[in-house]
Amino acid sequence: MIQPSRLAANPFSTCWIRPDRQAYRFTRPGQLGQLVEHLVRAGGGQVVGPHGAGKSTLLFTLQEELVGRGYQVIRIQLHAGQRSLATRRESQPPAAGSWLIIDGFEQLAAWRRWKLAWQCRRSRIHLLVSSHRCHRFPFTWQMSPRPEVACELVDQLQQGSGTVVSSQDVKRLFREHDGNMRELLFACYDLFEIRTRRQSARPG
Amino acid sequence: MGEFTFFVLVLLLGLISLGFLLFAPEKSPDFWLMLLIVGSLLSIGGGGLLLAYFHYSISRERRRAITQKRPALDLLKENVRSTDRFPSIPSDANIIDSPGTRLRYRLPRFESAFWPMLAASLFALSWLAVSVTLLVTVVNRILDEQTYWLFTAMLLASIVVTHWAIRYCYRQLRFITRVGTTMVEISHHPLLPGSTCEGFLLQSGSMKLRLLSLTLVCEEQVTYRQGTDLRIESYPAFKQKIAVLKNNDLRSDRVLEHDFEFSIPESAMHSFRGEHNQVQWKLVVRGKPESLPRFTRSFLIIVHPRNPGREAG
Amino acid sequence: MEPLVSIMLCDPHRHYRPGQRMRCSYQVDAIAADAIQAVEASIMWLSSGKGDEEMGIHEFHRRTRDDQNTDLRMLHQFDTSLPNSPLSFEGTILKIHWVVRVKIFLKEGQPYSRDLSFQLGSVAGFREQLP
Repeated sequence: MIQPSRLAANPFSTCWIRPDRQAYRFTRPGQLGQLVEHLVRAGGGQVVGPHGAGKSTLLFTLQEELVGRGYQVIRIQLHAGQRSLATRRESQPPAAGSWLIIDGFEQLAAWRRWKLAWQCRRSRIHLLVSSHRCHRFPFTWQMSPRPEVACELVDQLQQGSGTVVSSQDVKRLFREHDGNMRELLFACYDLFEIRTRRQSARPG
Repeated sequence: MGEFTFFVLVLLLGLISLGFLLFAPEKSPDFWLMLLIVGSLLSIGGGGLLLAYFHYSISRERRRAITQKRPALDLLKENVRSTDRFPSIPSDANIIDSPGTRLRYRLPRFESAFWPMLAASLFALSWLAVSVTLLVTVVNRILDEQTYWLFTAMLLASIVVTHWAIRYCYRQLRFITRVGTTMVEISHHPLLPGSTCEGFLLQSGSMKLRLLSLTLVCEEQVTYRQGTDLRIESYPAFKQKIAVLKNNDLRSDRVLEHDFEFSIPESAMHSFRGEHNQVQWKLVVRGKPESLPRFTRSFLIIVHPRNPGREAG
Repeated sequence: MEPLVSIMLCDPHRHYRPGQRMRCSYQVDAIAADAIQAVEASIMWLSSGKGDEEMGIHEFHRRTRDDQNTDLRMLHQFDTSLPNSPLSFEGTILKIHWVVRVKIFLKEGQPYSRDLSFQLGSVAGFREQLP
């Protein structure tokens, strides 16, 4: 992973907004702990939401929490069109009780999804996935982004640079992009860029 | 939606025919011919439906990326000559190895019309073959004083599809032949910031060109991949109109030729090509013909950074 | 406590031309000598903006603690000829920065790194000529 350079002065550059660089923001304190408890009790689950809802970010946050609780975690990121899991040559197969996180579960062919779920059940490995659609899992966390959370995130990103993108801007962009946080953050990038250039172009 | 409906209908037709074939074989003349036709209908209908489904399930970002104009990133291959001296600058082999007729270099075109035309032709020919086969069979049945309604219905459906396919193919061919070739040549390469270059534009075809413009463009292009989503974005960092030509009648014996000159700005960024990001310079030709769709053709040029060593020499 | 890494370049303005020689020196403080396993120094470019980040290494040095290098904290110098490209670029959706990065690998804990940026070339933006 390339370390983000502080030279990336625009706080909405991809190096700052990538899912693995931000902790997922819950609407209420203690929700992360509750979610993990539900997942552990259910032995697995799925995170479901539309594009740009923050599924990958949530999975990274959950992964960190599970590792912190002493679980072995293997994470696999599936890309568009990737219909099977690449053969992994692990030095040791995952132990019973460990967690397998699949980001982009619906990319797998239906029979591979079924096969993977069956193999995990047989090996007592907990399966945690992200998907745009619901599948059969013992626990489902439905994601629905909220403008207040978007405002908080944007404020946090701008902590080092001063507020250039306001809460009103964020709420407007949230509506324009139908809650797609990724597109919202990219739009914030553009706004930040335009406004800082205007400021620096002003005489005196 | 229309595409979806079309493939559903083709699939239904195939399934109904299959039913007839399996459960009333004595009423199906030419069993093997019917099997071939049913197989084609099922493949086209089923395959098309699957494609439509997958297309639907592609993310909005990826759909946008596919429909955006995305230059062929693989056009320029790495060349030891250039990259050793200028890391991260795309190879100019395609340009250096392409001599012009009026000026030194002929620029290769970004977009190719070959594959879409080939695909359209194959599609039209396939459906024509199906229609002809069905027509022969129906006519034979009529002559034998037998009416086979299923065949007749399939023939009518096939005629509609064939008619559309041939029209589409004809429009493509008409466009290609009438719009003709666009050629751009330049006097030297690679280009440097602050340098001036001579150019030559040739447009052939058989059309009334209301407007033909030539623009020098520098684009920042970035690719962002997150999970299943691929996002490609372009930003025109620099645009300069070089030439605007109006009201030209082109014929087979009369082409449009135009000599021009352009300069790369003094403090311009050079061409850059990374794995996910690039800075691209190009000459863009845009045409507005009468009674034909507009066209855009792009020609990549390579801008090198100013090299103190080269300037001293 | 984090180690203190000081990086110095020969030009106080940190503005270089392509092909120019650059002398770089660095040293490490606020840490015991035997706590450092290895030190890497890289001259590299990084991209940022709206696309995937990427980087290119122009020069790379690695020093490990052995009988000859017992104290990696000492001031270390090296020279390099800077490349012709890519030049530093402050675009709109793409930016390219050049840095000297010094990375300390410790016996215990995560590696620690520090960057010092410099400008390669003089590319201005086109903002005044935007459509």
